[in-house]
Amino acid sequence: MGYNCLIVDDSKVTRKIIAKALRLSGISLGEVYEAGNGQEALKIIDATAIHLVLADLNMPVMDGVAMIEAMARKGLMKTIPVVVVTSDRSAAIHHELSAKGVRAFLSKPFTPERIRAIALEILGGNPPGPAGTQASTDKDGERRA
Amino acid sequence: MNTRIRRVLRKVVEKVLVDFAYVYAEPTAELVLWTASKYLCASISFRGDLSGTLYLAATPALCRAMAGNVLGVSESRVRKSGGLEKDVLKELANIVCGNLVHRLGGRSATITLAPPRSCRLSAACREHPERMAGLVAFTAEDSKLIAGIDVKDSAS
Repeated sequence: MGYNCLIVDDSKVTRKIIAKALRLSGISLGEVYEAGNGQEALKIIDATAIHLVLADLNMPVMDGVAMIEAMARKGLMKTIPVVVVTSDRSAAIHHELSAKGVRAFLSKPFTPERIRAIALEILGGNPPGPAGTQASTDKDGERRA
Repeated sequence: MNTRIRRVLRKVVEKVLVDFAYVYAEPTAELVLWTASKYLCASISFRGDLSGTLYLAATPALCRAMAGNVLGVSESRVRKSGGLEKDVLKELANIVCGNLVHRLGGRSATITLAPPRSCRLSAACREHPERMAGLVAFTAEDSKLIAGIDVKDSAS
């Protein structure tokens, strides 16, 4: 079994780019789920064992900050690491989100090697066991491996 | 036109094109703006300590090539996708803008980016390029790409 990752971004192209980089990163990958906004992401998190969330900030319906705050209220920021994927390099945003429990920032453009480094730092090298990897569908009704 | 903004814009676009789209772009003095109406264009607005709009315009062929590189799919698949190249151009604009504004305004600057959108190249770009804060043209893969920035409240 590998790490189940959830990509949260309103741009389908960006989700595909991140998913491709995840696959190329060489980390032990389970399922890759996709959500188009924070609200969709929270539904997937509720229904699925997610080991890593890679999230954009600017999204319609529920943006990344609101999603992170909702996760914090449920105590999920302590158990599910969130990496913010953004081209915004503002120090103020980074400080604010770090205080809310965001574990790392992946600045665009990024490489698969950078994703690997961040994932290994956060998750360690031991892939999770099979427990809790129940099936779920993403925004498009697809599951990607 | 602001020399510093133009220089930083050129560097950021060159780097992002290589790192994100695997495209090597050569700056060119030839703006060929009269053909720009045929280009695909994406814009992204930013506001805060620095406010304005960034435009990226490129030939459809270059956009398809970049989309193919970024997504690892063939250009014919991009052509059949019905808009992947526009989405990739928007993402490119997003990345260029995020990197650019914090180089211009400093990392401590508070600058918010709006979502990128497909658009027409602005009249300012087409008709009065000299009024833009920065405007740079590139040749890449035998095609052209134009990057322009309008700054309302320049910190530079």
